[in-house]
Amino acid sequence: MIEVDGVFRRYPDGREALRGVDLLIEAGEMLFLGGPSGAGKSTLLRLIAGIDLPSRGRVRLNGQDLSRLRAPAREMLRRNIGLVFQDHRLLMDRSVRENAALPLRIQGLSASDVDRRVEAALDRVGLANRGADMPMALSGGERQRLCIARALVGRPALIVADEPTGNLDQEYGEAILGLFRSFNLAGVTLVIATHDERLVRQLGGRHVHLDAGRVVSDAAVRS
Amino acid sequence: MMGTLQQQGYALRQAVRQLLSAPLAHLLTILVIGLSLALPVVLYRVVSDLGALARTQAGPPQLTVFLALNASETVIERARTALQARTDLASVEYIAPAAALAEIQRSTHLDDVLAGLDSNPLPGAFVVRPRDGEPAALAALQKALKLLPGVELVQLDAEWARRVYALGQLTERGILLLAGVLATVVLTVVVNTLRLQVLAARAEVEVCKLLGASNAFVRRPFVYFGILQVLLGALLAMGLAELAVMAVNQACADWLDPLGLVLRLQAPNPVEWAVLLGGALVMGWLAGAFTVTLFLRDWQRH
Repeated sequence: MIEVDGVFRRYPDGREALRGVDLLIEAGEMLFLGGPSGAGKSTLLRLIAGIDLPSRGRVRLNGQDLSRLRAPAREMLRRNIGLVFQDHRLLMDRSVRENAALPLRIQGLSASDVDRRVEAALDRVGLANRGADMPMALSGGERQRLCIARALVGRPALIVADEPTGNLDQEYGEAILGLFRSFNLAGVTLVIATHDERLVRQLGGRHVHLDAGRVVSDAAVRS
Repeated sequence: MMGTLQQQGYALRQAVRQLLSAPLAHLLTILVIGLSLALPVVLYRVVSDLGALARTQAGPPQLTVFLALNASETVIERARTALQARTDLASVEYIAPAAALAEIQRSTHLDDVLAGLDSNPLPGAFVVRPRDGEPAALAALQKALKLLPGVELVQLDAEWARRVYALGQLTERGILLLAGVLATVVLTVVVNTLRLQVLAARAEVEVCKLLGASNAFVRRPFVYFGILQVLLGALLAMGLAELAVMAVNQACADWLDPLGLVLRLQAPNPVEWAVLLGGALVMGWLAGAFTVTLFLRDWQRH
């Protein structure tokens, strides 16, 4: 369970990205964060993932107040969160397989476990036969799928995705959101920031709309 | 434990990958490190072996223990026994007054003058050679021998020893200083190379940190990279030092042997190599840890 309690986030340049956000996300929920650019979606995702800390207020993950944790403890916690970035953040000089394996390397898993889990993750996102390729050889949709494979390879209970369909055409976008739906059906909690209202309506779930750093609507959307 | 081993193995593979990513550039760095480490090693050998040659040429230091004039046989025997019992002396030789006078006659050709003497004015003396040629040890020995019964005077014939020793010490200090300067050069070169590596891998470091990597996980490949660079530099230094020793020995054989001076540099021994490799390991580790820690601190602040 994720509790966002009266959270403010002010950046060093003085810009206030979040202004008193309250949110409760139950385990196994699929939540879409919508809103215009600059509404605070990415900032909220970074706070939920423990990458940044709120200037005021609290973010609790399964009861743990992230602000009270030291950096190494937050890093440990982040190893159990699947992160999907809009700009993929892939290592361009490593193969698809090595990119997908990175979270497992960080966890220090054995080579056989890494191989087994990476193959399964790549298979799940339809990249099983691209393991030896370099990311440069992948299309935008494939790169995003690789990013998703990297997020799910550690078998996280929570996936946080920032505009996962942002640069993709409709077909790829639907395929990726379909993947997220399947993860959610398997019990994974998903928090997804997206502009794509149409895809949200297709999938259904809870839709929280942010504007100027505040929650302006919070409603269930039926697919 | 298994996880740690996996992470160490992964870090080592990453370090080797980094090294092979730009082989020519890294080869040049390794060459600079190799030359910087080889220079003090060779100089140390030159000074060490030249010092040994100087000591051989000048002969070992000696002390002359003069007994009282007309010392009885009993006193002489007591002194001999006391000297021979000392473990810090390599040899003890007695020169009787008559033998000393004969030696003076032979070397000075003052037969007429000496013939005019009523009696032999020379005392009996022991010439002793100490095991330790270090000036402080010689001075202490001189003091101790003076306290023996029947001993009138102890003369230390070691001016040359003091000079050789002082020169040796001075050169050794100089080499230590040079080694320190060159070690700093090596550290600077490695830190600079690592800094560029870390900057080039900034995106990778950021991704790792976002995915929850610890600082140790991020630091490890760079530490291994630093260690590998300096170790390869040290191995190159070993090869260069061996070559330099061979070249100097050939030159010595050509130029000094005809003059009756036999100087051969010894190749550094296993202990010296172990010190060099151990030092290289520590320098590589220090450079890697220092560079990445600074980078991470700066990165986390922003």
